[in-house]
Amino acid sequence: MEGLASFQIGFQYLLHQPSLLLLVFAGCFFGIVFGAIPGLTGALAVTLLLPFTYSMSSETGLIVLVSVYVGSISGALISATLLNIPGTPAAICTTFDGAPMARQGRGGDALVLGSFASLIGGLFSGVCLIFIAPKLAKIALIFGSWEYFAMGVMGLCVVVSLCAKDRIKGLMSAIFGLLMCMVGMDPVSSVNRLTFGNWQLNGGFDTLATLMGLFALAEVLKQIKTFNQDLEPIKIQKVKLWPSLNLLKGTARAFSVGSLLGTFVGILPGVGSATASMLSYNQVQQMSKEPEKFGTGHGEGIIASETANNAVCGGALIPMMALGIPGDLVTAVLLGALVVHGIQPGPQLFTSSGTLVGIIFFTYIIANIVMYILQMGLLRVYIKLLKVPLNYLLPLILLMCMVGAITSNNRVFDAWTLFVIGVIGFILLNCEFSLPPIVLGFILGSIVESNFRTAIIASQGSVLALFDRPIAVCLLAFGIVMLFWDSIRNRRKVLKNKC
Amino acid sequence: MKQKKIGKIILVLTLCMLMTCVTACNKTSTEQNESPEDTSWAPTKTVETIVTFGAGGGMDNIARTIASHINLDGQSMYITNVEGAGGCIGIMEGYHSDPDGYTLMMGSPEANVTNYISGSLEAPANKDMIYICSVAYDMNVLCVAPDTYADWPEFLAAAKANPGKLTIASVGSMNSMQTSITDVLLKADIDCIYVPFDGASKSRTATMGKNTDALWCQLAEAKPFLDSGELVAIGIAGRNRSDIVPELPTFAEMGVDAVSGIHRAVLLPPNTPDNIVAYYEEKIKAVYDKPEFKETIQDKLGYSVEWIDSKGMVECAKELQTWAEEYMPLVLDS
Repeated sequence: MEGLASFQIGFQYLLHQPSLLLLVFAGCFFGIVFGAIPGLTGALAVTLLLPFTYSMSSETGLIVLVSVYVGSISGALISATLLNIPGTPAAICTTFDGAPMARQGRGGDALVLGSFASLIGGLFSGVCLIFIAPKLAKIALIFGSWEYFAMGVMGLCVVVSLCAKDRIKGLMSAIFGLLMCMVGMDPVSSVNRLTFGNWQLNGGFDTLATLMGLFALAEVLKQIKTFNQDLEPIKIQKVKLWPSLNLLKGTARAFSVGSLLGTFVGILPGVGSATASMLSYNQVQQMSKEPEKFGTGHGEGIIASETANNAVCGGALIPMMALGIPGDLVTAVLLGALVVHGIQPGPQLFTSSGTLVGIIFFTYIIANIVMYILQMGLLRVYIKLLKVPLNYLLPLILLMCMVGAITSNNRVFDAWTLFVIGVIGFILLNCEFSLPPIVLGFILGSIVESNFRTAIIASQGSVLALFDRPIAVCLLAFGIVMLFWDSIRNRRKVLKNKC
Repeated sequence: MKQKKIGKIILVLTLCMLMTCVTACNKTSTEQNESPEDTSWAPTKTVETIVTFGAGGGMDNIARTIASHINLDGQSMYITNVEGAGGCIGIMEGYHSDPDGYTLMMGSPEANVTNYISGSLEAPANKDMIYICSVAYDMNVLCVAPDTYADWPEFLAAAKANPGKLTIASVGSMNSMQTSITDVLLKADIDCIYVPFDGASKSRTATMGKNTDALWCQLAEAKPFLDSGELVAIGIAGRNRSDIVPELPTFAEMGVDAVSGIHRAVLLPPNTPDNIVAYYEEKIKAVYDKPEFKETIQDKLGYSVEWIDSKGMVECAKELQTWAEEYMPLVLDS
């Protein structure tokens, strides 16, 4: 119960200095605003604030950074739901059901449900963080290149099953995404691929610019068709403080699957929240009694995606604190902040800097609760976005996307990436291709490729080494089952009907 | 009508020509003012420093420490992180910046040399760019997981018994890391497999989880894990032992004469005037001499502070160039 004891220390620390609670509020607010604006992300918010925290004490600095982190992940659901533009890759799956729900005039329900799911996911992974962090962290060490490769392949299998409507076009999109992630300097052999001699392309495409191009710019171009037309007014639902019991009926499965998968994927460094929310969305859909309703504005879909992407935060903090291994981009920055303050992460962190650990624990839990409270206030403002004429809204969105693309790596070249990919995305949309598989293929492609290649190098070119790794084999088998799950289920139905 | 139009065009053209003449004259006159007697230079607007790696990393922390302590005669310095392709994108951004003294770059000569020879960089940054100074030097260390190999002789014996079987994890390929470990392996006359990961934390995790036999990395990256006992260092590639881990023997002591590490240098774009270089050299030296600098960089972050001035860096860059030219072909062969 060491974890609980340090949680209490953190609790006392913040209680003695109530001004720190104000910082939690401010951090969460900043995070939500950044998350909600398409183009601006949590990683950007944290890197912007990082230099300021250098002059603060280590405790204060971490309180601010952790609150921003929590706020930004849940803020992304706002633009995903109301504008159909995911603010971060983690919110892609939220658009599947969130956006249709908003279009049906149930935007309020979608947002409350999403925020509530974020809260549950966040709290669950927080509890895991407190009680079993050092033990859970060992999972990150068991996972080697083969396991990450298998995990990536499993993700790709899920991408395929996500595009059930038009499988061929979905596969084409995923392959396009895989090709896109090959552009640039290959990290394993340092060879420049598909760059056509242009050094600007050596770094590959920026993830944020790609995402914003495909979703924001393509969406804006699509909406331009409706300029100056009389739109039928969208009914704006009042945002309630709590999701009604009716909404929550039969969603326990989605909550638990999302929280567990999110925390687990969070622990694995580099897999990321986009993969977590996608795996969770797919898993909940497979287990649901009404899988056909997914993608049409079904509550379970939002819950699956939002619990998972918030649970990743707590999950990612586990290996960061216990082993000094960052689970994602934001925790990598947090790790830098710890080191600057002279604090060395690792198992000894729990004994040498007990107070700090307690403060991180407590801030993480309290930030999730504060995030929910702030969301409830802010949503009433944000939902009015639906009333803003597109003529004003779209240029603003474009501007923010440009700013986001450039600031993410301080290069004007990324703005061109956004522009070109956006136009390609618009063309693909008009040919009725689905865009999420492109981004997911883009993200998973590099995980699959680099891990497969390091694994193959380490085992001297022998694929058979895979069979020495039971976890990797299980994950691969699981992926293959998921790939054919639809056909297996249909087969079963046909057989049943025959009987 | 037509004549009027033509007249207008001519008028505009002459105006344009006049303008260019005036500005050109201005330029020459100011240049004349500056050149012979008055060689001092000081910035009149904010100064940008490009860091070739992401926020929160080692390069970034050093650059930010310099930026927060530097006195630029009333101007401030801000940091721009430009990541990608193992630092190559940032180096090229720095390389192509205007040599007017308003863009600096934080990078390492090791990366500049090896990335050009491997073909990842399109321009010879090491030869063309101007080194202001190097503020820290980080030696490479070979680490293993605890309870695997007690020391270097044991590792050496295992590698000799299983040629081409042991794996060494590191970051990237065809770069200074692969070249330097090839140097060690050749001089120790053993054959191991180099496994390139795309991040320092990934290569470390692989070794901590015993998925690879050893880890080749910088001392500062390994330090926290050496302290916590999750990794054990068995050799350091310094000329002398490091002050940070004085008990760790160097490879040279153990009969393998390989020296390698990473300099943390500040650079200016090619063709930057000497007075600008001198200005920054003086200002950064002032930061280096502050006790807070050593406290942050060495005591907190774990980098050995070591001052090399602009002249010393010219030598250092040349040495590295010959070293890389000697060993890189061996890497490319393997």
